[in-house]
Amino acid sequence: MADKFCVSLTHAKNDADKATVAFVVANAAVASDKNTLVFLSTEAVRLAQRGYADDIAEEGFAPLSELMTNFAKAGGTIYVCAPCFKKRGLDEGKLVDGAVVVGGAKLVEFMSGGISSISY
Amino acid sequence: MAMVREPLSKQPADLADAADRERTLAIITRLSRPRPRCPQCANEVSRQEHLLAYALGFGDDPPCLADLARQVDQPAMSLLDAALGHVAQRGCLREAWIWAAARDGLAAETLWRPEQLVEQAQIADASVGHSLASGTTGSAVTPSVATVWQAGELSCGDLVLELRLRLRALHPGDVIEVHSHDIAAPEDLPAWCRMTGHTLLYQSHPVYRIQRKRE
Repeated sequence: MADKFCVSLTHAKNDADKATVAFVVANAAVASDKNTLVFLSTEAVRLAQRGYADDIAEEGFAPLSELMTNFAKAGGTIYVCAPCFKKRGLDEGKLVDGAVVVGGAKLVEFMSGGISSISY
Repeated sequence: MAMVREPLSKQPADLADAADRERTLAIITRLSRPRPRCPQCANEVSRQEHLLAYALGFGDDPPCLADLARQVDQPAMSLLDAALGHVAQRGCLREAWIWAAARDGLAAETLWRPEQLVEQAQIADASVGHSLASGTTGSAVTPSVATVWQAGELSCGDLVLELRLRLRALHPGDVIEVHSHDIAAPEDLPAWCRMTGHTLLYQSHPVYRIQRKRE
């Protein structure tokens, strides 16, 4: 059974439902003692900015900012796609807890050798 | 200079469960003992080196970073990056690392890039690199740079794909100095080196020195 788990997310406020569910699943994975990564690319990189997710709260789920904070506190890691981040003119000095801006090599390294993953 | 916060009291509240808290306290208890000495070089092992060694299964008689790298047969910088990544992703280890950093008065901005350890790793790799390049042992001399590449803002796959081409054009053991302004380079280039087997001799963004592996 793979010890690593990757949640790939490409949506932010353009699809708050997917953005929320992605972190709900990520929390399930990290709570199950999986080495869990959330990979944010395209629009999802906006979630990595402090304050952006503060007004996202989907019915039936905890607020997204709370889900993200809990994920980081539980030991989860958030990789933020560098080209997507730069394209949107975002500020790497305002990253949420647990987030780090990376490129493809870092993601490939995490996913090498067998891994479970899910995409939103 | 922002100081690392002291996150733990007797009962840390941030961790996911009681078992994780107990593991953290056990690790901190271990790190609170008088500083051990490296079994090989007899130098004092810092709290951070001790934690990294513990994370890699060398908790009893922990070696210094340089000797740890020799024992696991990996470049010290690559080992440091991998070990820090592992520590950062494990609640008990991460909290213990933060505790150790606060005890040692480390700045928050260098929490996951401790300058002293990075310097130790670079020196260790440079001494090994010199031995490989010249076939001699002896004093640590950084291999000379064969070529300098101004990579500019190249990022992600574009960066590492061209880096691969440029390294392959060098002789085994040669060193390329990369000047990269990619914001992801501090994470990506070490990761790429770990995967491909090339040695990251030096890293101080935006400058990176990478030695081509011997195949």
